[in-house]
Amino acid sequence: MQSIANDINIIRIEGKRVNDFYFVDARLTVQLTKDAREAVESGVPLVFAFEFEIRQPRRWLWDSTLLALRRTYKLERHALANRYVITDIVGNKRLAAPSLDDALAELGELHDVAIGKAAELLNHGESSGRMRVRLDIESLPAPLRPIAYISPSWHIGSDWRNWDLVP
Amino acid sequence: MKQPRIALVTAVSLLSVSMLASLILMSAAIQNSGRFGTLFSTLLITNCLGLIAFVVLLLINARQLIGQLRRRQPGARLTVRMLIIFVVLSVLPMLVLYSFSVDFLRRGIDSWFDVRIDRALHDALDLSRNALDLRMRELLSQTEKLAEDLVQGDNTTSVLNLDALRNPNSTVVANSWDSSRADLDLMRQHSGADELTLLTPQGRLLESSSAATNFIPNLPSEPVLLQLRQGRSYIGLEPLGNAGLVIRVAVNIPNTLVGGEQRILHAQFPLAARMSRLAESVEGAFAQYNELVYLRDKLQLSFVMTLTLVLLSSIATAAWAALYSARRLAAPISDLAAGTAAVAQGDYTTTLPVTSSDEIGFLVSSFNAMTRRIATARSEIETQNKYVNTLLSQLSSGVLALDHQLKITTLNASGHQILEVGETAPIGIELTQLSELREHLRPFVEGLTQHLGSAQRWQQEVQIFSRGGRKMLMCRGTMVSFGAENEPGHVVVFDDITALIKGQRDAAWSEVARRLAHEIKNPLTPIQLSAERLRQKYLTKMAPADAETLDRLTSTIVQQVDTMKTMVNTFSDYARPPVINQERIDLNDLVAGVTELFKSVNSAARFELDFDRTLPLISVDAGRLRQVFNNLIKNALEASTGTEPAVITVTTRQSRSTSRNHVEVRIADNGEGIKTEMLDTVFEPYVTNKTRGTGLGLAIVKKIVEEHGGMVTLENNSGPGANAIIRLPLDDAPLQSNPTLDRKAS
Repeated sequence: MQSIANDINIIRIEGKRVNDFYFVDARLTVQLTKDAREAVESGVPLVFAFEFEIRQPRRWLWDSTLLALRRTYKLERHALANRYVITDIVGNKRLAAPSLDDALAELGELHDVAIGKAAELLNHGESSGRMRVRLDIESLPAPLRPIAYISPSWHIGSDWRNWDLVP
Repeated sequence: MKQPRIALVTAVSLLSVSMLASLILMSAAIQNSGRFGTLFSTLLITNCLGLIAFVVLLLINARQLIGQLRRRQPGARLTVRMLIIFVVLSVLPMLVLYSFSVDFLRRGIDSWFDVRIDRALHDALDLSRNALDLRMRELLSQTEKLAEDLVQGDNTTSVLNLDALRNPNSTVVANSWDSSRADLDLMRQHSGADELTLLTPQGRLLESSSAATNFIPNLPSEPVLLQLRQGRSYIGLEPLGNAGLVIRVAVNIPNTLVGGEQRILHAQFPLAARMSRLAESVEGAFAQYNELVYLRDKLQLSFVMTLTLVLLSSIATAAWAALYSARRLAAPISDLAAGTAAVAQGDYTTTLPVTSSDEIGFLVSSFNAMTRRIATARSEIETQNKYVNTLLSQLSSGVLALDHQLKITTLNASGHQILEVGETAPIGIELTQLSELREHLRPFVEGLTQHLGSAQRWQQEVQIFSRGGRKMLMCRGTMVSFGAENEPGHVVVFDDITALIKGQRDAAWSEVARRLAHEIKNPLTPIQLSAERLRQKYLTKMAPADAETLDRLTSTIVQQVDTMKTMVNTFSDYARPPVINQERIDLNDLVAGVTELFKSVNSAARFELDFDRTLPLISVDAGRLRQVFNNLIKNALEASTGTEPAVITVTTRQSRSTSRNHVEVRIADNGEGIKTEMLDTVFEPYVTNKTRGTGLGLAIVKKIVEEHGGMVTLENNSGPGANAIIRLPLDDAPLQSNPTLDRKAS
């Protein structure tokens, strides 16, 4: 499904090789629509899916995807602590911010996201990576999903952004 | 037919059941997002697709039904009517149930949200915060105390620091800091903190101590550091990792250190287990309630949507089931309608399948029994008809049946033969048309028509002149009723009595001849002989005067006796059984020969001959026919006695007045003609208007002509005189077709 509003902009993305692993750093600006903001403030957790793909162009066919990675981050409000908490669902790391904007800023800072083994990714000649972020509607509470699918204000995400594997 | 139907019903049932299951799951997904939450969208799409499938199925069926209605197919209207009834009966209660359910649903969801619960939850949250605030303030002052201790300890307790370094439980110092040697581990153990860290104001880690053996220091975020750089301590409750709630405290260490460099002491305290559990519980409840409050409208919408889907699915299923049931119910009735139509068109072999044992099944089996009986009755009637037809065809009498409109319904084989109506049976045509089509039947039709008005039995002799010659028909008729509902018609039975009459007449005249022979002819000879002897004996002995008288008287007796003998011979000739010596002659020659005889005797009369030279040869008894023409010409001459000059016109023609050829001879005079009252009887014996003659001339003419199968008539001319017409059949001449007649007959 194509993103309608570019509420998330990927400002910078770059990959790096540290020892045997390939990591990505990225910086994004994340903005929420009024509906999404209201939902978070009301205690509805929002899940953002960060999708990474390593692709190799082909001459006659569409590009082949060498690797597809999906990292999800949950943003929710903790009422008692009056904090906005970002949870890396895979890494099970939590990060608390005093305000929603702080939390969104924290969400926009990606540091050292492990993509895969460097040897596997970098030995395919001409290949490139791309990344995008979108709000995962399927993770919303069921009653909200039909509206979220229909309403543009719930289609929050970014376009694909490419980066060179070898800078 | 049956297997696809079962397959269809199975498919639709499966679809219904799967939709029902899907709807149940969807309902569960809304209520408990944990169990089926992930399936919700799939279920929603599945249900919509199922619904669309049903609607498409219904539309296809509706289109079929409309087509059937337009074609006026039997049963279509009934199906539509039943469909409407079924749909209305099922949909109306569903709609009522739906509206009540939606209402209850809204009320139900609304009832979850109570101001008091809302208040209580907020209060619980506030209470928790207050409780935690108290604890946090304690921890803040404790940490500030620690910071102060750290400053003091830096001057005095360097040994402790070395001990700490030796201690295997102590944390590895990440970064060496020369100016401060505080024993963080000891402090941490004393204070009860999970983690103690020394940091620069920029957040760089100087030294840390943790209860965990393998830990990555949880450093304060940039906003916290900013706050500290502004000289304010930070204390906050933070949900971190799996540890649940922790209290993070960060304070500036009093600026009393050597070198005057600013340091931050960052501590992370765990909450007491019970408190943590209670706080999480309050937080969980509050979060769930808040989420519900936020989702209230959406939840209602989702439930209503699910309910609507259930309703639409139910309506679609009910409509389809109604359509199916209506078709099933209407099918035998449609079959019955089609069967009845077939029977109405005369197909009695129709049998319908008996598919059920209910009243409709009974109706169908009754229908089958009815058609069987009709077929049997029909074959019986056909057999009966054949029987009657066979019987009629074997009758020697002709049988003619007419309906109330005088149309011919039956004419048996003998009737055909007697009436000589030709090859085409005149069935279905009116009686009067028969005389138009077959000219020779006009007397027959006229003879019948005068009796058909009456209900009495009647009897009539009719004479027709057909290809076989003159025929006397004895017709007997009566009015009969053909069944109760039909108006009465007529049955006419007729026999060809020509031969019978001829035989009777021959017998009668034979008797006359015999009597004449015995009673008259035999005494004549003695009378004649006696008169001759009288004359012989006394003539010479008498005085001349008496002798002359005797001679005259006896001569008269002898002469009159001769005349009487001639007369008796003539009778005898007339009564003689016909012995016809047929030979093929040219009739023109015969007539010319007879005329020549008269010409030579009657020079005063003028004979005009108009012969058809194309006349074929005809088989007749030439001698007897010569007598016929002799008599007729003689009659004509006698009739024209007073006329000067007497003109006798003799004409021969080939005529086609009936279905076959005839030779027609006309002998016309210009005399005084025949009196009208004598016209009917002029051919009877002893009928004459002459002072002389036997009165047998025309009778003999008629007899001879009839012996030849011919017909003689006498009629007055339009001008002066009379006209004798003789028609003789050309037996052996080929039939010449009459196009006009044939066209009419066909």
